[in-house]
Amino acid sequence: MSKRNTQKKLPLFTLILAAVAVGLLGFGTIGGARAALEIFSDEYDARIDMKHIGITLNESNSADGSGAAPVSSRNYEVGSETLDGNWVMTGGELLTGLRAEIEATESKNLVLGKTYNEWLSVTNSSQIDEYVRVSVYKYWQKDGKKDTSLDPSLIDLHFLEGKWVINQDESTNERTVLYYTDVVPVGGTTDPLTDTLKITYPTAAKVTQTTEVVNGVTVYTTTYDYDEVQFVIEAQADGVQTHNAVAAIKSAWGKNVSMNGTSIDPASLSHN
Amino acid sequence: MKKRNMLMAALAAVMVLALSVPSALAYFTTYTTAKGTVTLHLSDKTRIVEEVDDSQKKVTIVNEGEVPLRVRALAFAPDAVTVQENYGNNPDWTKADDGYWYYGKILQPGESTSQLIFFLDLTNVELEEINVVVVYEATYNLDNEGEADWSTGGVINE
Repeated sequence: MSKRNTQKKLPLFTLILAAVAVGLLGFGTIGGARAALEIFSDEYDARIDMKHIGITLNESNSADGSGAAPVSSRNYEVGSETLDGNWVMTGGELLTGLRAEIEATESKNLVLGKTYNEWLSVTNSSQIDEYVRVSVYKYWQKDGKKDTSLDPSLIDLHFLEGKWVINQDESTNERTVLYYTDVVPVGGTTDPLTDTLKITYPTAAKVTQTTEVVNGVTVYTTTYDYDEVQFVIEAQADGVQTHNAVAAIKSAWGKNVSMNGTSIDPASLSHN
Repeated sequence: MKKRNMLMAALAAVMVLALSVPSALAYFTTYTTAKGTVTLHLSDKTRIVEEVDDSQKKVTIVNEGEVPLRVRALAFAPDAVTVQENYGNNPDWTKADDGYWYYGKILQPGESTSQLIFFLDLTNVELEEINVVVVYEATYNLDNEGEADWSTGGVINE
């Protein structure tokens, strides 16, 4: 018996499967090469119908909330060459309108206890429908550093519920998380989530008092030491696709929601 | 052996195909942030002028600050001293259930209150020196109707 005859031949079917596996691996490599080519190919760009997501945060300081202007956005745009791939970002500074309003007054000071207009809303700047949520942070800072000795609840930003639902479990004195129950269609804007802003004076205000007696008359003078303190409003708007909504929201926001038609059931948003 | 080889090859094919699955599990998401600050200038002043004339303590509060405020006052005296509060019945001052005397108008910057007089009846007092304390509070926290929100605390002067 020769040595050649002792070698076992692989079955034909096994060989075919192995060839298929190698072929598929090979295609995997070619796929990458094709993707690289597509970037330079006008023909392919024209044929691909990609759906892009984007979101825009708006602010208005008018009495009725009209004239809302975008303050920040983040939109996916194919062909854009940014540091963050195809994400085009703008913005975003809040409260510029309020500062201008204060600057226009005689005292150039924010009036404590006065109600100012502060409307915030979100626009869907995508090519697909989306669900949105907004996290609003408010706190005090002094010399550019966060000052936790001052109570954030003295910054009274008034939230509007209805289609917006505040999640109590995620919210604190400093942070409020609101979910919009309805689908925000392409180009559509949500109802406003805030309308007014009022600053009350810190209870633990530092004051200096001097006493002076002149001709039997006592004069007490009180001066505030807590000058130049700043309050900060910060907002983050998040958007997620509506397709396969329950799984998408769970993946993106970590929330188990239930749907009521195309709307998110508010009861599933108010807690947890 | 033949069966095992077939299984191995099939597994290889499935694993290669599975490479494309992770991209299908990603969802379209986005976010945007914005931040704004406003600086408060609180270099405001209140001045309280207290005049003691015979057995009367006359009080005037001046707003030397830049924002309107509301004021209230409360007197404490030894038991032996009878204090006739708001002597002369100045209608600008009203006593509330909490014992404070409230000034009825918003005190605009630069304005002074009218006098609140505490008359001290010292006829039964044998002490050489008595101490009557009047506590004054001012608050900047006014609502849109101009009513004071004392719950957030006032600035206390004695």
